[in-house]
Amino acid sequence: MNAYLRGSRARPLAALLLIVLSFCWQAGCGNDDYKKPISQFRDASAVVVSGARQTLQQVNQVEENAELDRQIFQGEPFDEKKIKAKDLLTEEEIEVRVRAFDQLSRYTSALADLASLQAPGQVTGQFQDVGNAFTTLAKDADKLKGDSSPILNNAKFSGAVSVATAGIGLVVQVIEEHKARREIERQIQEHDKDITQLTDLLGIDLQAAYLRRKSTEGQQGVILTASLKQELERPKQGDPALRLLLGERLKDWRSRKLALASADPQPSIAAMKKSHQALVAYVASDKNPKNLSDLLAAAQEFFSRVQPLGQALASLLKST
Amino acid sequence: MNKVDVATEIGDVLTTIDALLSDPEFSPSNPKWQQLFALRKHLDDQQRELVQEIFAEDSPEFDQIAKQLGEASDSLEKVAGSIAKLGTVLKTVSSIASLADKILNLAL
Repeated sequence: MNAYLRGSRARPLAALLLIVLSFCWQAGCGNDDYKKPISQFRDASAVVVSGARQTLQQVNQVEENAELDRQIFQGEPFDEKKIKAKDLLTEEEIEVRVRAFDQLSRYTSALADLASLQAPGQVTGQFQDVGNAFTTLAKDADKLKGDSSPILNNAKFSGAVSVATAGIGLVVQVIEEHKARREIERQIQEHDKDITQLTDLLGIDLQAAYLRRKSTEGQQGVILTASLKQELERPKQGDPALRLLLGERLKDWRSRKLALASADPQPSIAAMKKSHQALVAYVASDKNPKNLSDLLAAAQEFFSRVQPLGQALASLLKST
Repeated sequence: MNKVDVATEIGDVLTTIDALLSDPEFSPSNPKWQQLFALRKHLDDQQRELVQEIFAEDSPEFDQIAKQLGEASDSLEKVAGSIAKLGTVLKTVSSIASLADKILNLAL
């Protein structure tokens, strides 16, 4: 009788275990399955960070070249002062923004390691490094506030860096103090809005730089086609050598225009934010398979989104 | 709407103008071409200035002018397909530039 009862109890338990194992297998509870979204997130973040660096570093050159082209096209004398006046960002502003992107990506990596490890103490050093880097970043961002030309809102940017730094500081503190995992997760969740706010602000800066690049490329197209039209209006359609030269520049411009259409940073930033939020939700969910499944989908989407951006940026780097 | 939305709207207007200025039938020797190119330069400068300025983006005034600019941009789309309607195009682009000036005047 007892053997029968044991057997009848064991069967549903075995079935339940099988269902859980099967669900875990499908959702990817295994360590290897977890490694994939994290590696995708890291790869995709690297593309976003290098893309941000490239977009911001080129922003002044793009503006200056556009002004130079306009002066020449409209028959104005070369004016270096007018050219330099078109600059959008100082070297310091560019550097601080690129570092902010880099540190946000490192913070998410540290979160990923925290989620995959049993003991939070194993990632203490990693979190301390990110915390220290954010503290230095906040000091450098604060120095920009007093600049006479507050390009792309330095005060707001500096404030967002300070708030994010304070939030990350509290997360580092609970890890250093070996607080219970639940307390660490609570701090991470509580301060994640500060991280999201900084990501949003950096996204706005990048979007503004992208919009300016599009407008200057548009002007370049107008100048090239107009120059060709003017040449064709001359007796015997003007100088064939000059027409060929304009044709070569038009070819380069068309390639850049094509690449630029895929270089919009907004979809990649949105996907980066989504996968970061999915990771935070997973960290706080005690490794719930549903949250892991969401994380897998978000990381895959982020990885797919940045592929055209990476290709477009590589193409633009060659042709600028 | 925030300033990047307005800058995007101005960017769309610039794209529309660029297509017209690049039309093979529209010569730079035409005074209207020069007039439209000058307006293009003005809008381009306004877009650059816009991304550099700080605004109270949640103010009703900013929102109202941004909405008007969006409507003017939509009406430009309707007439910009033909160089036969250049008079209307120039008028609409001028009104867009005036609205962009109004927004820039709201800078803090």
